[in-house]
Amino acid sequence: MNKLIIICLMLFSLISCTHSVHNYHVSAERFLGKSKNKKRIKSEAQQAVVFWMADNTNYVNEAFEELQRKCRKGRIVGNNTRFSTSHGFFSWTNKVKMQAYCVR
Amino acid sequence: MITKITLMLVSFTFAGCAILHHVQVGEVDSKIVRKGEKIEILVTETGVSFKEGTQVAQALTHNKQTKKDLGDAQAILSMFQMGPVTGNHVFSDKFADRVFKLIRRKCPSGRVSGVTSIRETAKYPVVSGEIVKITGYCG
Repeated sequence: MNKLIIICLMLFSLISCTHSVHNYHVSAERFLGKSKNKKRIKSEAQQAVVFWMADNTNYVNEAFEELQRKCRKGRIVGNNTRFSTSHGFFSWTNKVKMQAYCVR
Repeated sequence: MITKITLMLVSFTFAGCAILHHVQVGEVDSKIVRKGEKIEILVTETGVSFKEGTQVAQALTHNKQTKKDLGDAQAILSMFQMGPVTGNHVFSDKFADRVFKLIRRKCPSGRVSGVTSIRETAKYPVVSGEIVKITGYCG
């Protein structure tokens, strides 16, 4: 019975990944109006951490640069930023996701 | 046994509390804030504390071996859930992404100012509400 509980919990942990949302920020979106030339853009970057050793310490900048690349000739407004972590076996992934509108 | 269950139910009723993790205020346009309409968006996801769940399960059993096994199982489980945690663990990190669409729905003019982003937890035994709350003014 007890072994069964442990096996069930291990299987549960293997199939279900847990997450944690640390922060969600919304910036002001002024003068967006009803512009027809607005496009929804998003970017995402992540950092893998294994045994407390992080591989990419530039991931937030990467997400920001990707967002800028997607709106070269426009103005980025209404930026929403989510910072979260996906947990794993002695490892985890820090993620940054940005969503915004590109207005031309 | 009945006393234990009663005590647990009582603790479930009274032990809820709110924990603020992060708050940030954005750009403020005083015209919009003074004349605009206040908007509030709240998205939540159920969080689970596996440690507290194990403690409850251990409190419900009298068998010492089962208590030990439950502790071992929790220790194994925690190895699969390593990493920084704000509030309790949730099973989806995408729940907050809905805010992006909800803002547009609540303020179609797109003139939002004085935005306050709040990340908080409504804490109860074992479970919690992991909350993202956005308040602002729509002009």
